[in-house]
Amino acid sequence: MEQYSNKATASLVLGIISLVCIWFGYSALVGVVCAIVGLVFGIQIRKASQEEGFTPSGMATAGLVLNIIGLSLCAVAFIACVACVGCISTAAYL
Amino acid sequence: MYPIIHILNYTIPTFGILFLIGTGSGFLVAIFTAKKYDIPTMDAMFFGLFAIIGGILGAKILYLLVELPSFITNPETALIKLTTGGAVFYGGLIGGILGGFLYTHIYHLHAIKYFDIAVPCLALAQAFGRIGCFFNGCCYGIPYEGFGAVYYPVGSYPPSGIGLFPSQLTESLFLFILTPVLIIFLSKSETPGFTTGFYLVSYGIFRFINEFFRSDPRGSILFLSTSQVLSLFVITLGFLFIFKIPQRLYEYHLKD
Repeated sequence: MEQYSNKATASLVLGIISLVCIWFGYSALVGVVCAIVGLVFGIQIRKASQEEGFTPSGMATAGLVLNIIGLSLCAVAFIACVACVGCISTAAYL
Repeated sequence: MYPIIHILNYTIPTFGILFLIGTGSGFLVAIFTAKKYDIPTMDAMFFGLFAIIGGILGAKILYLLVELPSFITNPETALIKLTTGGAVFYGGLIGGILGGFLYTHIYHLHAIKYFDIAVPCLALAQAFGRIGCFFNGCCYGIPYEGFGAVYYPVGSYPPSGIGLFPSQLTESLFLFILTPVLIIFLSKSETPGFTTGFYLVSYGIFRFINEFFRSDPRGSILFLSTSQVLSLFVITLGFLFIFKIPQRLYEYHLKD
């Protein structure tokens, strides 16, 4: 349980960092990375709670929610049409 | 046309907003499609999140790899390029599949069934994404003066002053129609993997044809565009799914 408590704290902290990063231009990329790591922790705790039969803490749930919001909003800032850029980028290498 | 919108003091890319709406709609559809195989909603959501994470990482990693020489020669622009949309579609596609597969592999779930419930959601998300392309001005069509021709204003990314075929909107319309069709196929089909196969074949064929009506610079291989070559692979993979070949390989070698 100790490891899940640590992961829940890390997930919450990373979620908050990712939300803060939205407001600082290019730091959205840092926000995406933080949200991804936090999300993986959050999902691990949720799945472990299903398999081992315990109730995930409020901190873990808050971390999961914040990371989903953080990932969504940070991704909006820097995502582009991959179908266009991608083809241009790779065409020269094929 | 409207590549960015201003909310308070912030400029937000329209494509990003429509991508977010598409992803959200896709997750809502997943709640219904997951019932087909009695998959818990939470598992369906987490599968989608893993696929999105895999997609983002894959698109960026492959972009980094292919652009590495220019990053080394111009390191000052590397971060800007990386943060302003540099991504590779194939990397995103492969990363998304691997991300979703990783989730099913870690938690011993049936990957093919998860792909089946995900494809209607993917089609819907793509449909919204293409509307984003329309507003962004990318993926524009060939010069055309008939019904539904689009005239972009001066200063837009596509050529202005001439009528263009609305190739983004035709693809979006096709995907909006394909989504309920896939849901019907999913509910009627008894074979895991059939819906995935049907999506790959139908989207691949449509994309192959629609590419003839696009004129944006996007690279080519021989006389076909890069996307058309990719479409041929996608169609082949779709037929393999319909003939249950990946399903058999998965059952014998990859399951558990």
